[in-house]
Amino acid sequence: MPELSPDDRLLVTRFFEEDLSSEERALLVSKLEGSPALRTAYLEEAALISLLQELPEETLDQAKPQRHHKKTWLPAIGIAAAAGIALALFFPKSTPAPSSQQASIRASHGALLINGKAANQNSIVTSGQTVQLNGEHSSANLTFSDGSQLLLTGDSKLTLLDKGRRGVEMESGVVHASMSDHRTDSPFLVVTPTSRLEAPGSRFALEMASDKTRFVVSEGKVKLKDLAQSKVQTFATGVEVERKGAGRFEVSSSQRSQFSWQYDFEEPSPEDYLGTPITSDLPAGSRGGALATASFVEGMGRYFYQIGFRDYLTGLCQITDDSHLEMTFRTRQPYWFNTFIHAIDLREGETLDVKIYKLAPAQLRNKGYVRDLWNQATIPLSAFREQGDGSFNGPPPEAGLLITTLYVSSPEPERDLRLDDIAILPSGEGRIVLEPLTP
Amino acid sequence: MNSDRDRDKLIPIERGDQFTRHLVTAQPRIRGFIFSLVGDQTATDDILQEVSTVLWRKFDQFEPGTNFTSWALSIARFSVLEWRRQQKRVPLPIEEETLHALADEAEAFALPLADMREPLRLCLTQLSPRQQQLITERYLRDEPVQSIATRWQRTRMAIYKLLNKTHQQLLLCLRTHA
Repeated sequence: MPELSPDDRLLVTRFFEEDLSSEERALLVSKLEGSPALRTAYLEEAALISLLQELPEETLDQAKPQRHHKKTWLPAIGIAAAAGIALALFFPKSTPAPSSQQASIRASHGALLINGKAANQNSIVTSGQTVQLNGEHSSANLTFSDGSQLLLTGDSKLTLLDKGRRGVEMESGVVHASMSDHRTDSPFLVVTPTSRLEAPGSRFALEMASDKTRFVVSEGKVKLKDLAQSKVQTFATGVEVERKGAGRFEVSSSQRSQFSWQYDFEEPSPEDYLGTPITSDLPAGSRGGALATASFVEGMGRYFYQIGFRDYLTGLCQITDDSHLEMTFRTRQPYWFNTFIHAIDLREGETLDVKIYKLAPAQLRNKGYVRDLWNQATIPLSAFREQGDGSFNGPPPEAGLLITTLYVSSPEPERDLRLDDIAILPSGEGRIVLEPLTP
Repeated sequence: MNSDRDRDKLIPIERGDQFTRHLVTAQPRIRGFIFSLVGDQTATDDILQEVSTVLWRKFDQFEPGTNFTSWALSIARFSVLEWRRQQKRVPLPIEEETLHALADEAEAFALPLADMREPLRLCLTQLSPRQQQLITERYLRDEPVQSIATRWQRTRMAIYKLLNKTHQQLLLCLRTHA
């Protein structure tokens, strides 16, 4: 081992941390020019640091306790479409209905407002109060005293019913509901301007926009009362219902595959996607792609430019033990883009929550990517990590979760991030593979 | 392949597979080489991608059966020189003559990076929990040293000393596996 002073070694370490003054840097250069031993130490440390920077995340992960969920996933979302959803929640008859209600609210992401004022991420809301979430990446979980839960996602707004009634009035946004089957004299209602829903012991999702209302029921039965027609209908799992404006409810059934999803930007898709469509500079034979242009500002005030897909209502697809992400992409700048998955856990007995997973950019290094060329990637979802304590160092996404959003983001528009096609598939190679498409 | 004619017959999809296999194997070595001459992670990634592009474009000039890594390092050296000429300031302001000497030594360097990943995993387990935490925060989470120092309520220099000591321990451990 080269005999060097501790100060010299420290100088080298600080150099690779870009923490030297210009005088110190000149000193290091002078020493490197004159000392073969220092050059060797310098090259050793460079090699080690380069290796550490490129190691897969799991190499450095400390052992973490694993969660084990053995509950059965009831595959309702993939085939569920609600013609109408009626929601009711009953307390046991021995328990009198409360004159007022309250719910604990836990906002996982985004800005939470109660009665128009910024609120703590953990708050209590009571009858007559309005809960509002701002930001398409927002989520908040309301838990009522009987165990019923409402998961709000994206820009959403609702008001807790008052005057002795239990439930909420939805004004806008998307809510995933998991209703307790406790029964009381006062049913739990979800009210919209045109409908009233009761669904004890059921799970459903409701989307409210200014011009449409859409329901999907994933489990149980839902009773819908059309307030305009005083008509009551009951819908079971398996039907999707949409109402545009004041029109009638239109019923359809979803044929979407439960465990896979894909999009090639060539045909109109029923799901929203973010980004700008492109029709040139694509791989041979392709007729459509997308450029990352949709922007959002995250918690630290940084902009991200992305191509995103979201379906908060029915979700994109369900995760399996072997799910893979496949995509054909291109980017100009060498720093990798970030890929995020938002998933919700709708399994029986699990808390409704939005989990966010990220694929660390370093995972794509040294895998054969070539800049400015279209590359194909296969990435097991097990390479993603859940966000916790501000860092993405949690466990990978579990089988059974439902993907509601998928983003491919780049911190700068100059990176010119583009997609040609993208898919979530139920199985794959089990490792990250990147290779350029032959020009 | 035995001749230029045979190589010309190689269909494009096989060529892409071959290139990818070579690049995946060589990329850690190339990256370490560039990083040792540049000393800046961002610039290293920039240059590495430039090198990857050049390698792809010139792949038909590569003789199968010869050393891809050596060929790639020669292109990487040229790319580093080009990059330095375009910069107003460089992290390591050494003379070009010294740079060539450093590059020669880096090429001949004993540590074959691509082969050291498994030994490095083992060596990491032999660190103290505190050292493992430091490696995790600095390289996994890419936290700056100052940020770590603030959170650990230590001085910046104290963190550097621990980092340097950890590096030396890892290098000592890796030499036993070389």
